[in-house]
Amino acid sequence: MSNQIKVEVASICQVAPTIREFTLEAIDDELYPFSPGAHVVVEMPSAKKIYKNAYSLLSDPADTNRYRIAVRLQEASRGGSIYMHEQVKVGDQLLISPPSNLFSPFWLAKKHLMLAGGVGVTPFMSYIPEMLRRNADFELHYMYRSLQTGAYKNELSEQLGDKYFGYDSDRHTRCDVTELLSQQPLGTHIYICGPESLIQAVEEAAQTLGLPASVIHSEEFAAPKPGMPFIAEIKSSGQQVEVSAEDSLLEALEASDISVPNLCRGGVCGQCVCTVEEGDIDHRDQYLSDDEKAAGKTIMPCVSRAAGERLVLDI
Amino acid sequence: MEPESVSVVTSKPIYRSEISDAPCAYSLFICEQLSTAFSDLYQSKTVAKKDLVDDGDLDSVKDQSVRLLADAPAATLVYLSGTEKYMWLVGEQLKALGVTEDQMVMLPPLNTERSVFCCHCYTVTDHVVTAPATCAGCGKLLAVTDHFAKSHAAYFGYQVNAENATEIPESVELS
Amino acid sequence: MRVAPKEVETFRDDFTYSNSPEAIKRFPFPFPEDEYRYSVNMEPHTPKGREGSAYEHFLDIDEHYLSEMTERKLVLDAMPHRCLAMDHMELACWDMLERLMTSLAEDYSDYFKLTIEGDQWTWENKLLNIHDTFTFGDSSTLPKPPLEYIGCQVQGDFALLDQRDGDLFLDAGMVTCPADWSLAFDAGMSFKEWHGPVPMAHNEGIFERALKYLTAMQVGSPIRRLNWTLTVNARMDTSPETYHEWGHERTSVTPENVGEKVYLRVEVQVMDRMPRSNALMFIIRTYLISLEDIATNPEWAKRMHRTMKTLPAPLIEYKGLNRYHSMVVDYLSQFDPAN
Repeated sequence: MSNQIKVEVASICQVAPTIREFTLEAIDDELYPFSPGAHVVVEMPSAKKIYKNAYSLLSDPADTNRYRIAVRLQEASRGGSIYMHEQVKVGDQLLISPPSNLFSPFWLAKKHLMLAGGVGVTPFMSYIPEMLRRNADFELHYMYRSLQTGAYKNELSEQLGDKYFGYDSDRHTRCDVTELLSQQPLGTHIYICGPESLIQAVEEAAQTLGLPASVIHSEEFAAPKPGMPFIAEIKSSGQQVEVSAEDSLLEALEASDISVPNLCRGGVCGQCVCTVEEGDIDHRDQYLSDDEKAAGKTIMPCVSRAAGERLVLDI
Repeated sequence: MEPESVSVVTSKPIYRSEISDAPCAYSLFICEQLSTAFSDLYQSKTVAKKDLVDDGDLDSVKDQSVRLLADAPAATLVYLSGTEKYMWLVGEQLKALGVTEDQMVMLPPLNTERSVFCCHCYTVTDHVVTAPATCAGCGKLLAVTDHFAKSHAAYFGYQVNAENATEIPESVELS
Repeated sequence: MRVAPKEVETFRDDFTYSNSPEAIKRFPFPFPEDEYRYSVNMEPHTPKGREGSAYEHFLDIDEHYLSEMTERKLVLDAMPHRCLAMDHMELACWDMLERLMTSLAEDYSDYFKLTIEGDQWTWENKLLNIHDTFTFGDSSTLPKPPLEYIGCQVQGDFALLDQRDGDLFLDAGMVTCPADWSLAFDAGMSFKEWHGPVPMAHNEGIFERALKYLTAMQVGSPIRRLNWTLTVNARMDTSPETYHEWGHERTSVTPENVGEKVYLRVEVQVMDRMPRSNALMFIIRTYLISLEDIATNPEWAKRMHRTMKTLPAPLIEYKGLNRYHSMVVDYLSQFDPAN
């Protein structure tokens, strides 16, 4: 993508036993202002492959001189967080996407209840300065394990006073989510960022209590899903096109001078649809209907991939 | 502009007559005039706390909603019964108090009367049962569409004979 | 060569509006194929075509600039409600002002100049003789609210869509040259609600797909799509508000005058993510060209004939073309003898 921003790592700091914070400064262009809850996709060019991970911006949105992100070392990592922790040094250059935001505060809410699990505190780091500026009613409930996570807990506690609630499961303090939700007044919007288990627990509690679904918001990243390499065979010419894990099928076809009409490159517009002669498809688009996907005869090469090692395209 | 025949206007609200007994901690029942059905619904609702407001006057409903919802929990459900206009205008008041649309249960409107927004003078004409309808503000004869605005609690209306003053369609009853 | 703004022409009463040969050449012709097809025809809003093309810059300032700004003032003076911004859209309005000012100053430095010193901004518009200094973010330092202030200096209608819970809400805008929709009525509606009256597309899931795509849009990657209809006379303000004033013109088309009286109305719709507010800015830039002027390009006339001929009946009705659609097809058929 040509709209990426080149940044330099200005400083790195350990903010919890398994979490490092990276401060990124622009090299050529200015950084965009961003909205609370926004994230960027960071590209990490390791020797083996290019990792792309999404990280919330945790700096004050009013500060356009730098972005800050925090990366937790994940045990079951695809490698991105290991790369960030072990390879990236101060002065290194990285490519990041412009900010996107699928986790914006609902500003019309009467009260904002933020539930953070571990490194999931990061999007709220950008909520809080703006909430304070707007004099909004909010609470942060922060669940962490002090032996691993708990970044920023001391400064948050100090800054927020009685708006801050910390729960350290390594010290056996836990948050009773059902009890917490049952105490919330009408007009409260609830934001959850953390492990899937936390999101599920909150959603279940909300449903049991009878909170409307529209007040529950959880973070979902639009990060490109990883893919396995595969071969696309062109039926008419017999040409074999290798599609690497990082490239989309569309990009690989274009690199082999096979042009496919396309517009959005995001699985929506339907322009690049191709007929599949053979092979299973991992559908990732919004364009094809469920029936069309089940039929397995068409693919949107801008986002979708082979489910196996080979696809034969009738183009 | 001929009346729509095949197409379905998706902004037209759909009301469901079966009401599922969803869980909540507090229920507020608001009606324009109390019917047996609504009274039965209120009686049958099992919930920790509930209130019934039977009031056709919007200002007075607003005062009561403000009072009753001041300490209401997030798990609140509001049931509404009345004309379409009444329910959506109360709905707008409730939104301002933090009630979301999926916290409101609107029963099928008591009658088929529509309120119609005149796009020429912005006047809303109430109690419209046939189309075309005369605008209470500018007097133009309005075609009544299915395009509904919740904030106006009204359907979109435009002058039916603007292209040719003599072309006036036959009056039809609205459903 | 870029076309310089010319003297004020009118979009009402005596309709003195006209396109120069250069303006005809750069007209954003909207039909990519012979048969009409409804689609999510979105593409990245990046420069396309040679210098001077309608897609050269983020905003297109053309020879009709002064005329359109004069027309906009007439509309707003008569109907101030054609511009509105809900309270929670304040930040989005400033986002929009910044985006428009910076892009104008960068792309048309002869006409516009922006000087930024901290939060003190100075804006010069040489075409309209505007020179103001204000504090960014403080509406009280501008002569008009930010959306209205900048909206009155840029061609096209504007809407600001608030993004909440995976949906987009029409919570601010300035709409003085719409193709028959009312901001006052649609204000506050969700994406699906304000597209409520559009026929056919709902069943095909087009709006679900478009909404998914739009809500995921990133800062700095604007997209565009084209939309079109036909308008009788070069009337910019074909709003429902004034329909009672222009509706009768649809009966004035005859086989003799169809070429000069019927205009192809093209909207270049640009969508752009606003960085601070996460709102989506929606620009609807309208271009008008008479069928006669289209006919100066035989390829266009031929293609338009084929598109008009295959236009589905529900769309003829929705676009309000019933009364004169067949005359348009007949007129254009002379340029497409094979069909």
